[in-house]
Amino acid sequence: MEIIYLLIPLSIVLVTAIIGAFLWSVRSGQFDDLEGPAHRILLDDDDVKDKPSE
Amino acid sequence: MSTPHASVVNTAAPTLHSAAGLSDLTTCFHCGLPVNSPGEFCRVEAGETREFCCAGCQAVSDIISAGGLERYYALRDAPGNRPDEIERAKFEVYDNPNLQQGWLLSRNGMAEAEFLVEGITCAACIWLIENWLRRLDGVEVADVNFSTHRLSVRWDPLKLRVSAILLAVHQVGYTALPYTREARKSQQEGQRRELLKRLGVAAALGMQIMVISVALYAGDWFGIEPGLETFLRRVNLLLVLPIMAYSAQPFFRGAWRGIRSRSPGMDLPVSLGITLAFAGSLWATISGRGEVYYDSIAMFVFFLLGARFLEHGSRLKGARALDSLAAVVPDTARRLRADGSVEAIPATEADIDDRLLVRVGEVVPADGLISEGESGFDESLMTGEDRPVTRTEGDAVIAGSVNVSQPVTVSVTRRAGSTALDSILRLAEKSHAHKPRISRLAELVSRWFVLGVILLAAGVAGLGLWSGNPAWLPTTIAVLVVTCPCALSLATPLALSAGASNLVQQGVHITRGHALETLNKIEQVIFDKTGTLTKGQISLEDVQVAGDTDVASALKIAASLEQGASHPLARPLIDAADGLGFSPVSGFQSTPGGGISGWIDGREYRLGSPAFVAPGGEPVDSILDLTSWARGGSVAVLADSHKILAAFRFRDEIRPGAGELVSHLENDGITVSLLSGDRPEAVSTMAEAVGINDWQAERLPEQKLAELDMMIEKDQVVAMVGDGINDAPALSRAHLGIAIARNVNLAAANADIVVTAENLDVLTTARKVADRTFRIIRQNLTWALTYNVLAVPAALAGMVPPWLAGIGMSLSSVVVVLNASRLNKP
Repeated sequence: MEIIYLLIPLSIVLVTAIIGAFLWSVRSGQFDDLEGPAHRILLDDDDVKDKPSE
Repeated sequence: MSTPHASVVNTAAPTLHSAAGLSDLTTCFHCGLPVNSPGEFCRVEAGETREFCCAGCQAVSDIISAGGLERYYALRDAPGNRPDEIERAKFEVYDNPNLQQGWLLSRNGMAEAEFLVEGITCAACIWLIENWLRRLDGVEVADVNFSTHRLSVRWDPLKLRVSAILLAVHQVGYTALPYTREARKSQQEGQRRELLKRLGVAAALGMQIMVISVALYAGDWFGIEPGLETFLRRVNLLLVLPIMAYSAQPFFRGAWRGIRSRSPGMDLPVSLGITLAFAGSLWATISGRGEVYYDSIAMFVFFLLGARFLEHGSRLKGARALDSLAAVVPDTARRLRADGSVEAIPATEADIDDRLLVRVGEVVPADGLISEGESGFDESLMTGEDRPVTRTEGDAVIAGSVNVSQPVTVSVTRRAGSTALDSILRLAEKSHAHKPRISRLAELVSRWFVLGVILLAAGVAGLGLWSGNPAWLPTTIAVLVVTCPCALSLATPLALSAGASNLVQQGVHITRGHALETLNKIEQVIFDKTGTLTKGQISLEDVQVAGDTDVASALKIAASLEQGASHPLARPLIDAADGLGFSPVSGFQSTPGGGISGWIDGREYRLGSPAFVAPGGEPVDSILDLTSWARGGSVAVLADSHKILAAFRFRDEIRPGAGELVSHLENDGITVSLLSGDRPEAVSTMAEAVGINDWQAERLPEQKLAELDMMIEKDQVVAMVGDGINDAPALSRAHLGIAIARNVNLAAANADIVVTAENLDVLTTARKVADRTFRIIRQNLTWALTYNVLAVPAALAGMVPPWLAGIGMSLSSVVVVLNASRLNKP
């Protein structure tokens, strides 16, 4: 069972990383609009990529 | 707002086309309104001929096609917007650096701003706006938030000005205005993000804690190495620290607030339970003796935060409708310079004695006197009166009223910020302060429960200490854990938010927490007439002809005359004459307050009030019986130079479901009355039509308030249904303020419920949902209390081991959550 003394600290490191990523994603506004992206994904293919040459 | 589903996005466009093809009526390809003169505005595109109702729609469609954004028409599931005439100057005001403060941010040489976009109806709108803006040279990011209808743009200020962005959005048929309520937005979104972060932290750490706790419980049963147990407990202690220090903060703060205000809420026992469980676990972990409750702490905090997050979300949804209030009074005004030229200025800069030009269809930006011209003004926002009033030189006009017939010059008497409109809004705020509060059922129960749990825990602790029982702390914690008011505190908010989100789908938005409960208790409902029981749209109701005139030809003449006119009766007449065609009119003249006249086929016709049509000639009443026929509606008379031809009666259409709602309310034993600012004849007809016996006409806002106060003093629970700013104080004073959002108006800010549905009878549905919600709340509370009442003696007797307490607590919560989720189904 000694392995647990390695695995548990490892899982704590992992969960810290996960929480860090989650806090970053909330702060950068990824959770602000939970409806729009669901529709946007259907329309993505139709995006106009190029700007008109002026 | 309802969410358009993905499948709808894909299938709706063909339906739109076929609908246009099947019916005889040609509809505008862009906005879907009927085309009055087919062939006038049309264009061949992609092998089909597209008809448009006006040059504006055609221009928008041209721009969309030329910009390579033709896909919009295939993707959309709602018709486009008919563009209003807006000239550049209105947008150029926002290029003024003084006016950009508060909403324009400069970062690394790029400008960032948020705009509130009006007219978004479906996901395709978002696609169109984003792609259209991204094509502009200098735009780096353009993002539309589908839930809040806000557009955020980052662009290069050297290449692009704000007005260019606003104009670009306008070109494709939407209106964008800078979103200035920065403070409110950041506050609400900040709250949401803060809650989400706390919830996420509690979830991630809670899962770790649970995994380790299962190992510890297993250890209790099957035995565990003491060294490993100590290690696992310490790991859990480490993991629970962020939950205590960060995630649980809102409960501690709430408990502290409750103590200071001497009204302890659910936060107090929650905090007490968490703190004691933590203290006990900490002691157990350090001393190596006793139970640990880390899993319980993580679970309480996560479930409770989850419920708060859901509640916050449904509140935000309700508040969204109020977000578009921004544009009641315009941000810009047109000032006349001394030399007669016009400059656009921010409305707040219009000073006393400045002369402002107000064009037809525009909103008056500040209170003032008319210095030049004469016109009709729609002051319904202030007075509730549904027809325009004529104001001539020297008359006062109020900010917020709409100029409906001719351009006028207004000399400012009160600046923006001190107008009559502002003072009414302040009145609304004031009456807000003494809004009666009906305490919630759940609050009442929970207050007793809070008190009981604390007393019980204190008793257990005191008894244990007195008797010298070393197990006093574990027993106290056991009592607090097993009686965790988790289920009890979830019972009410979860059911409330589920009920509220059910209603949102039907167009009823709950904006104040108590609204659902109060909806169930109302004994008296007061309706306002204009825009509440009616649609606020005038239609032609009846035609009476004199002598040998036939209805069709009378209609044709009247509609032809009205073609050049812009007053509110013109549209219904033209609509009614649909298909009859129009005759050319020459010598058209409009007399505000009287009517219109013009020549058709060499004969002069007049259309308007009886006095205008027959000045000094034969009285209209001798030919047509108008007095009894009018029955409260508006009447216009048509005559040629010799005789009277016909009379038209108009009525503001009754909102669908109004009659049903009234009869449903009366069946439930609720007294229904009608208080209106309108004329007695109009009000009595309306009351009769929807079945209200108790009505009063010509009531000023102050009188409505006095009437309301009288009913409130009689200890009746009163609901006020209204719209319009003049109703705002009454909506706020009543126990329950229900605002009908015809257009989104300021009254909504003071309402407890905002109805966006067209059919008034949704309020009956709302009452049913409220009823169901409270039945489920009662079930939940009964269940939670029963669980607690059974569990407490068991815990006191020391019969509940920690793992059973944990399972019992989670199960009781799960039952409550599942029960509440039944409300999500319509």
